[in-house]
Amino acid sequence: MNTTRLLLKNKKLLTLIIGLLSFLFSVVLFVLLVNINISKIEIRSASKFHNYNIYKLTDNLIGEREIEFFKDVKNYDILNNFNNDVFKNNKVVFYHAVLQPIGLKEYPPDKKFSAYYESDFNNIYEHEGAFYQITKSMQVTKSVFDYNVVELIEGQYFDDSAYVYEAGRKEIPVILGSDYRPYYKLHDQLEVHHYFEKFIGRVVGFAKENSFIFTNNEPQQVLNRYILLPSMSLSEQPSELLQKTEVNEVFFRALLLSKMGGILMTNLNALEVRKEIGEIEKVTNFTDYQIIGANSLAVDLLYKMIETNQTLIVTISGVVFIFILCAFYLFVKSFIKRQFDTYLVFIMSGVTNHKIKKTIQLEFSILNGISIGLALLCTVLFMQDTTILSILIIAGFIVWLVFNIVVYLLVNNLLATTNIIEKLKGD
Amino acid sequence: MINFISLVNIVKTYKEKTILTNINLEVAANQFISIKGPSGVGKSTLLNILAGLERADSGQYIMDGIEMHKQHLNELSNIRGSGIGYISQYNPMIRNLTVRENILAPLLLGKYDKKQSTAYSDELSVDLKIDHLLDKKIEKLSGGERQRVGVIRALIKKPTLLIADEPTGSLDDDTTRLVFNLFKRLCGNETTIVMATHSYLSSQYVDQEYWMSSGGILLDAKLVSTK
Repeated sequence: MNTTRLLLKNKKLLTLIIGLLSFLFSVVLFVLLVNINISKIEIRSASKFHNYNIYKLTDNLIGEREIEFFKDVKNYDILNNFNNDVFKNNKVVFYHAVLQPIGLKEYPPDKKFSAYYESDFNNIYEHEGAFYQITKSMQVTKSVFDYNVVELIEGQYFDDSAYVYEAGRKEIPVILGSDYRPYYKLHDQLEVHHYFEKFIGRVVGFAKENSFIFTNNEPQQVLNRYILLPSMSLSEQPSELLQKTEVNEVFFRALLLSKMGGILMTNLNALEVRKEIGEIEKVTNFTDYQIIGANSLAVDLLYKMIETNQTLIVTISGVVFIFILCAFYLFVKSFIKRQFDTYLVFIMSGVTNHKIKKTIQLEFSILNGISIGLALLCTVLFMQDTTILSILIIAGFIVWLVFNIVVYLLVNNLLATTNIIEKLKGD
Repeated sequence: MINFISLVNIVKTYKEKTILTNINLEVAANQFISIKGPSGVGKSTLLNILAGLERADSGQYIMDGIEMHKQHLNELSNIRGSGIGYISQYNPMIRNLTVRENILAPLLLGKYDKKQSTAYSDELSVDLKIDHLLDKKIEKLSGGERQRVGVIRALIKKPTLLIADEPTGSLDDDTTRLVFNLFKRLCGNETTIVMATHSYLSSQYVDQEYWMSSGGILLDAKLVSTK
C-alpha cells in the first residue's frame, strides 16, 4: 500500500487526468444507460399506439342541440347504449384519457395543482360554505393503464368495479401524481366535486415521478400534478338511475358526453371503422356523432423522434467512449514509462518484477474504483433516478474490469519489452 | 577464514555471446574488494549475479551459506531486500520526492523504525556531505550529489553485502575519498563490499583488487600489474 500511495503521489497530475478520464467514461456510460432506459419506456409506450390507426369519437350535441337532446330522458339511455356498445366492440379499443378538472376541498397550499394556475383565473370557489379549488384531474379508462407504462410508487391500480357507477355510490378511488406525496398518503380521503357531485376520493396509489400517458390532447402528458379518476360507465340505464337517486342529471349528462371525446384504436381503416360504428348506430339509434382522424401522426412522429434520438445518443457516446479509452491508454502508458525509475529503485531494493506489475495494477484499480464510484454517485444525484441502480452498478463494475484489463495488458507489454537489467546498467 | 561469497565456474551468456567464462571468486566476510577492467567485459553482469538480479547460466554462487544459484528470482529478490544493498551505474531516482524521501524509499517495502532510519540517513548524509540537501527535491541535485544519494539509499537498510557498480563515476577525487572511507568503515562493521570501479583511488582502500579481462576472465589485479 505504501508503494501504491507513493506511485500515485509521485505523478499527481497524470493520476488526476487518468482518474478524470475514468470518471468521464463512467459518467457518459451511466447517463447513456439512464437515457436508454427512459427512451425504452417512451418507445414501449409509443410503440403500443404506433401499431394502431387512431380515430377520435366526437358528438354533434352542441348548444341548443344538446339541450334539445337531453330533454327526453330516453336519449340518455340511447347515448349510454351507444357508449357501451362502442366500449364492448372487439374490433376497436376504446381509450379515454380526458383532462377534466375537479373541485378539491382542503387542497394543498401549492398553487401548481390548480387547473389554471398559469393564468389569472380564480381557481377557488365556494360551495355550501366550504372552499374548493379547481384542480388538475384526468379521467381514465382501464385501457389507459394497459397502453401506457404507468408505474406506481405505492398502492394499486383501480380495480374493475372502480370503472362502474352504481346508484348511491359516494366514493371514488383516486391515484395521485408524485407531487402530491408530501400532502397525502395512501387511504387518505379527499373531498371532491366531480361533475357537480360530491364524492369521497380515496387515495389508492401514487404514480411514479414523471410517469406520462397519451391523452386526447397530448402525446405525452406528465402525471406528476394530476389526480387520476376512473372514467366510469353506468351500471344501469341512466333513466333508471335518475329515478333511484337524487343525483343531478347534469352528472349523468357530463359522464355520457365525456365518453364521446374518447379515442378509438383499431387496425381497421377509416372506411371500415365508420362501417363498424355505423352498425352500432343502427342498433342504438344514436346518430349525433362523428369519427375524425386523430393523433396518429403525432404518435408516429414521436416514435420516430425517440428512435432517432436514441441512435444519435448511442453514436455520440460510442465516439466519446473510443476517444476516452484511447486517451486512457496513452496516459496510463505515459504514467508507467515515467515511473520506470521508481520501479528500478524498488527492484534494486528487493521487489520482484511480478510485484511491480501487481502494484501498478492495484494503484489503477483503486484509482478507477474511486472514479467510477464517484461517477455513479454523481449520476444518481443529478439524474435523480435510482430505477436502474443495479444496472448502473453492474455497468460500473464492467468499466472497472475493462480498465483493469487495459492496464494489465499495458503493464505486461511494457515491462516485458523493457530489459530492466540493461536499464540498471545505464544502457 | 570463512568465505562470505563463493563463486565457482560461473558462466553467463547473452545472445550466444559468452560474457562470463568460468568465474571463480572468494570473498571473506567484511572484506572490501574491487573489480576493474575495460568497459563491456562483464563487470556489471557479475555484480548483477552477486546482487541476485539475474542468474548465471551455470556454476555455483554461495552467499553467507545460501545457495543463491538454486534460488528462484523471487527468492533472490527477497534475499536482496533483506540483506543486499545495490548501487547501480544508472542510479535511478524517484522524481518529485525530496532527497530524504528517496533515501528512505527502500524502507517503504517493509516495516521499519522511521525515527531510527531517519537518524541513520542523516548520519550518512553528514559523512558524504549532503546533509544540507536532504529536504530539497531530487531534481535540484547535480549528478555527483545524486550519486551520493544513491550510495546512502543502498546503505539505509544496513546490508550485510553491498554491491556497488561505479559508485564514484560522477565524483571528484575528494568526494570519492569520502565514499571509499565510508565503505572502509562499514567493512569493519559487518558489511562485505564488492565494487566495480575505474577509480585509481580505490587501491588505497580495498582489501583486494581484481582485474576482469575481455572474455570475462577474473584475475588478481596485483598479478596482472606484475606481468
